[in-house]
Amino acid sequence: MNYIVGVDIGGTFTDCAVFDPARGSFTTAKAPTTPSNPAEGFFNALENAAAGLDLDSREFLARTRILVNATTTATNAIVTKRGARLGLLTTAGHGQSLFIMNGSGRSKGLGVDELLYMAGSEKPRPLVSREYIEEITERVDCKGEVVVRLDEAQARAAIERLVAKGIEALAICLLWSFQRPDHELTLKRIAASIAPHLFISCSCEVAPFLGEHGRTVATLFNAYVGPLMGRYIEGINNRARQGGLNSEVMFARCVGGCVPPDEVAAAPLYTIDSGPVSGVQGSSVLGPKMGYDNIITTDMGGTTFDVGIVYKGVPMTRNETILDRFEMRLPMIDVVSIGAGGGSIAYIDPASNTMKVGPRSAGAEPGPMCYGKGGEEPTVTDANVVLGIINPDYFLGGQRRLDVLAARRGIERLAGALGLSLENTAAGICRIVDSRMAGEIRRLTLFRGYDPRDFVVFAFGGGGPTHAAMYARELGVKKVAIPLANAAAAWSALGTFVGGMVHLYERNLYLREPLDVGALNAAYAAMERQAIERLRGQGFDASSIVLERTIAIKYCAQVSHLEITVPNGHLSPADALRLIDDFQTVYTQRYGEGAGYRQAGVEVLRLRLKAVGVLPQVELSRRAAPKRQSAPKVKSRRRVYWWEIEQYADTPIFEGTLMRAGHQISGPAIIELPHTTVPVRPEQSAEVDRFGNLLINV
Amino acid sequence: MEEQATHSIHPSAQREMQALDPRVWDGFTLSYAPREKLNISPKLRLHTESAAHIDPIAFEVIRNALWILNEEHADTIRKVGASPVASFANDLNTSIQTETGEAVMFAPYVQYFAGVADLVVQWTLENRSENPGIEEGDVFFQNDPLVGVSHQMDVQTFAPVFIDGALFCWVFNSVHVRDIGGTEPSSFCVEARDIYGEATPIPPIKIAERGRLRADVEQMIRRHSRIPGLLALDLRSQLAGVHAATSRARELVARYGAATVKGAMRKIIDDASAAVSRRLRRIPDGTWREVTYLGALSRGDRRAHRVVMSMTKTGDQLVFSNEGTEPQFGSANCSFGAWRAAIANSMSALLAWDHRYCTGGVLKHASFCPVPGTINCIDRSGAVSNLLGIMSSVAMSATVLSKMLSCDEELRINQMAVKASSAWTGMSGIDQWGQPYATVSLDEIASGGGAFSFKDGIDQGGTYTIPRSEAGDCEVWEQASPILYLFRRYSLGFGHGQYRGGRGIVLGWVGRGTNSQYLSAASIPLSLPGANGLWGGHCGQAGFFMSAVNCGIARSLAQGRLPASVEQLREIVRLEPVPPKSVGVPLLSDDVWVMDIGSAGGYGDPIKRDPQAVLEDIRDGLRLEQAWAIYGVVLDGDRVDTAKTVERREQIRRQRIARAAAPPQPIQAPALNGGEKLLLRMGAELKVVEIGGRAYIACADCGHYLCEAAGNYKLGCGRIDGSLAELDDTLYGDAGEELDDTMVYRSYICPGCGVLLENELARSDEPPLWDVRLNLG
Repeated sequence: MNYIVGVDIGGTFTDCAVFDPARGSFTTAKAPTTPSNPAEGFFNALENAAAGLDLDSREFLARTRILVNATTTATNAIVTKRGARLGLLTTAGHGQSLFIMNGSGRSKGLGVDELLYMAGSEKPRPLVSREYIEEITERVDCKGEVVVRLDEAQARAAIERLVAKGIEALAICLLWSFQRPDHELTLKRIAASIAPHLFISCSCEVAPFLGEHGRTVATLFNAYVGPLMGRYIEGINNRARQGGLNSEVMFARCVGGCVPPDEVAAAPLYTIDSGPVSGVQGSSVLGPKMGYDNIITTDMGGTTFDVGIVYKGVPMTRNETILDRFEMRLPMIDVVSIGAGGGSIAYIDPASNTMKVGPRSAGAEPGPMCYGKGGEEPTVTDANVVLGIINPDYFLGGQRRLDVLAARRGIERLAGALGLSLENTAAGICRIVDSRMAGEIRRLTLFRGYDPRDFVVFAFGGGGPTHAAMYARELGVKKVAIPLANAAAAWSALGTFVGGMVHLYERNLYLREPLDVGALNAAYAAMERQAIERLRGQGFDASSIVLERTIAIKYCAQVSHLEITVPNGHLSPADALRLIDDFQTVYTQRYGEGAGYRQAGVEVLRLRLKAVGVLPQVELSRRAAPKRQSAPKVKSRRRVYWWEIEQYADTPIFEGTLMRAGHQISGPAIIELPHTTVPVRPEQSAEVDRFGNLLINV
Repeated sequence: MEEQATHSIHPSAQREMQALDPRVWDGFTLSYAPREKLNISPKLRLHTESAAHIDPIAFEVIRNALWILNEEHADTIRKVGASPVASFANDLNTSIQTETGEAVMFAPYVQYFAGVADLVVQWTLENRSENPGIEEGDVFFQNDPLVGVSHQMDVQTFAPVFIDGALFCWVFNSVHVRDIGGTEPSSFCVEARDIYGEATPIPPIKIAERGRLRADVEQMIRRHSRIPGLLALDLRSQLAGVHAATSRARELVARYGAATVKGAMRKIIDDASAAVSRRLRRIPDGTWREVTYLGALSRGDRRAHRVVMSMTKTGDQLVFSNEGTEPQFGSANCSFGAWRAAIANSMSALLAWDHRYCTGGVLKHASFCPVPGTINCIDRSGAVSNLLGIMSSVAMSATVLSKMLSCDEELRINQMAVKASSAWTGMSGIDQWGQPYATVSLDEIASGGGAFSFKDGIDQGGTYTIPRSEAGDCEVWEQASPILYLFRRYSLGFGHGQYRGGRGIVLGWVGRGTNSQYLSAASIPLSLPGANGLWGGHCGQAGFFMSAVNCGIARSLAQGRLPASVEQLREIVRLEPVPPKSVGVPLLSDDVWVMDIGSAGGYGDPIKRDPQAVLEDIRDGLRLEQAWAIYGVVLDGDRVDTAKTVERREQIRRQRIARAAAPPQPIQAPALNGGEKLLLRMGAELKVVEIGGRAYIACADCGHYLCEAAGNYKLGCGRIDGSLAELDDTLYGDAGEELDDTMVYRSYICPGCGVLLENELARSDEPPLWDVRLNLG
């Protein structure tokens, strides 16, 4: 047997998903996350998964062919400021650019209410202070030509000063190094000769992209987490090997897919957001196999709500990301997070005497009031308990009993202040958080020219299935899928291993019309040589390597660029013209007729190559479509408050794990799964499809 | 039909103006200023029904939805538009307004667009509802400063949203376009003597009628521009934005009902108004005044033009006046609407920060007494393209409001000093890719924020005028234009104070890969920085330019010598100052251009600054002699010598007292029968106390009594008449060289202890500014 296993370490739980290729089936398991040593939670989740398969963990690991980890270790180190002591080398004249932050440091990463309060806002504190930045005499221009040669003697002295100050990692970021890396690489060589064990992070290797500030931040963050991540990766791998694993633990990345440990150790920054990204990745790979090409992926956990978009089977990407209020240049699958989850706190805003929900969260400790662990502020989960949607005796499959009275107490307090009934207050908490989530989805779809009504909503994570029908309805979406029903709660873990081994290459190539096809061909060929060599080295043969090219094009006079797919192979001048046509077609689709200004000409900004080493495919087993629709057995009944009908209804409860393809339910009803709860609201219906997905017709 | 409008002209001012001519504030003869009742054609049905009580849940949901719809409006414009100024610097804004124009919500972009949007809608209601009529599917275009726009480049498009045949609300946007005509490319007409030398203003006209773009109107607008194709794109992006916002507003109404949505809009405004009212009522009544001097209003202008703002607070109402402001001059004036908008911007930021700057609510607490024909209230001929009038009005209103807020313990933390007006570089020529190009550098966006009453101003922190904006990377600019940044660093100075002003940036460029590139400079005189400090904090610095042509920099670079700062550059080349309004300065591979965008003002007496913070400043470039002279900080090696610092600071106090002229109106120390009761703290080092039933303003540091509470505390102070150049002769320029007027920098000193209470930059013939006149009742 050859299990394929993914482990996603989240803020509250560590989720494990196991795919058994022989049966085409999935199993999932959970364990509490252990923040002080995440490896504990990692192996506990594996142990629980093994137990679910009636194996001991050694046997389970021995039978595991691929094990992928999505980890938040790097993100946590950055947020809690527990990384390495850093030194930074920059081009002379630009040593303060990290502090200047392009003039947007005060506002970056702030929500609108913080943004507008001048006296209450500040720039974030940088990871490296003035004394640890050295400016190096050298200069390259935008075409990669050397303007001032590198002064190696001065550089050596500068690096020696930093090493003498006790730095643990060194970041090197020179202007235009992504066009001409040799100055950075020379500095790296010098630094390695002075301090052989220093972790060195070069911008031309970590983030070879236009824009020195975002590149510097990415390079610095990478250096900051480098030593710590090196220890984490080694630790996990050693213990897995000792535990019986015969392969290396691989790591999921924010660009999608996974890479082996040596590669992630060199650029550990790419593990940030790998969990949420894996959720989108899983949807983009498995969604089309289930017949869904356009998907809004929504993951609602305890603290955050993560949204991604899959359009025509391809996840949307972005080039910048803000971490700890620093914007960095890093390509990644686009996942947007807002502070909205089961633990989001509801409170009365004194300015308007209305209720607000989130972004502050009760987190896992103390958690919602109903956890009975000292939480004194009512949360979304408390509201769901009061409404009767969440069964207090079946939370996490019955592992945690919820205190209904505590939840009521908290919400009664708000109800008193608002002059509303208990039920309407609880329903109000859900409506407000649902409207915030719908707003975020609007931002990601309508703002980018997509109509949400053309999409299906995938709802996963512990809270997604509970709220999806509501935010979907606000957006006009007709169908919500809870993919693979109970496995949806570990969907991101599952997503870690479905994308294959992914390497991303990017080249800044600035061209104007008429496009220089020779330059395009040369640049793609160079990237492809590199990619194929690397994947071959990792054991992939030509038949299991997939190359995907894109190009970033824009109208000369306009601002928005688009990523356009480029055919593989040698490009002819006619192909180049076709690229421009394709660009115009997509531009019109996205922004409307007449939105583009053709007379200004178009320009190419950069080329990108995604190289995928294909791992064994996850094939979904499907059950034959049943001849007749039928209803599953009612497990129990309870009073649930539905605000649409402004009353309690005696509501049938169904056991989700017993539902089979062809089963159908009409709302109002509740489907209980061990790791989540799915309300089927009045005038909605639910069914199970051939893949075992739970579908809600909104 | 008459509808209630936002109070705009103060009733007393209206009476005065009516005595002159009842019809002049019509947006044609003078700026538009609506009276209390709007005159709207009965042909137009307004939707006025609004739910008085909205369930708090529905309110929060609708509020979120309105915010998102307004953001979508802005986002649509940024995506499709052609203007990099709009897309990168966010020089745009969008709003939702009630049926009579009151502003409900603005996006977090240029905020002084907010205080004109209501005027523009109200003008349109009054002037277009009868002929040609306002109907469903119409979209209006306008860029007339008299109706209400900052300058002609900020073109506005706006549309009524109809529900069941009644005008429900308006969606509105303003976008800064690259060129809309006038004598200069990009429409900043430095040389214009009046508005007829600038882009022709166009009052509200339908660019779309019943859902169809009017080709004739669009062509007429495009005909104004040197780049009609790009202007057309910007217009289309604006129309697309209006369309998106309109559709979304209709969906919202369909979902929640018109009365509920309207009720939510009113509640948003009312909540903001209630917050402003509550805050104003905490503060004693009084009048606060500010005077600033503007220079270089046109090329070669050597005068210091006085601009005045006074603000009188009674209860929860503020009345603003510009009386005393000098006549309009050059192209840096503004209309009444823009002046009001500048004030609304500062009020929103300082009084309604937690209500998303809802100007509809804020403006319920402001009225205005404008004197027309002045720098900040033009008559119909005034030129406005260079914006200084509005920028200085933002700064002056922030100062009077901050001084007022200093009187309340809860609100005093919101005080904020101001930054200098802009320094901009325009660039044009042939780029390194062989194409003609023209653009404006956005480095100015990285300006420093003013000092607060409890912390330093934020370096490159920007302002509340554009809360979200970005200067861009050096690499991005080097790819887009034929320049190379030798350095980009902290600006050379900052406004000194107990809490210092935020720094901007200074940059050095050489030309790269071009045979033809010319720069133009727009700045103000160094000796009139306008970035006044607060309560003894000193002025920030104005931005400035230096240049060196055929200077040998190319050879230095080739030899491996890279000047990485202004000081290092000076070792290689001789930098010449560039006058504030200059055009045609070349920048090729052997030329250098330096731009320092200036910095913001400080707060409080510099000798009260934490010596450790001064040590940090020294590490960032403050000169040792400044640390000694201005801050009284003495170092021992690389540490602060605490004992000597204390001693030096005492010495500074003694020297100030010795140097200061005696107070012109000292008062007798009142007899302390029954003791002194603290009424309030004011400023950094002032307090108002009551003794035996009378109130006095006294020095908080030593208790010295300066004047009775209703008096001018400055007349009880010692006064030092100095110059800004004494603080720093390079960064504040030489007023004698720049100006024909004689300027004096006055410092007001407590005669008891020598603490610095306030500074003012004045023309030497002006009396001391009575900046605070309390009315304790």
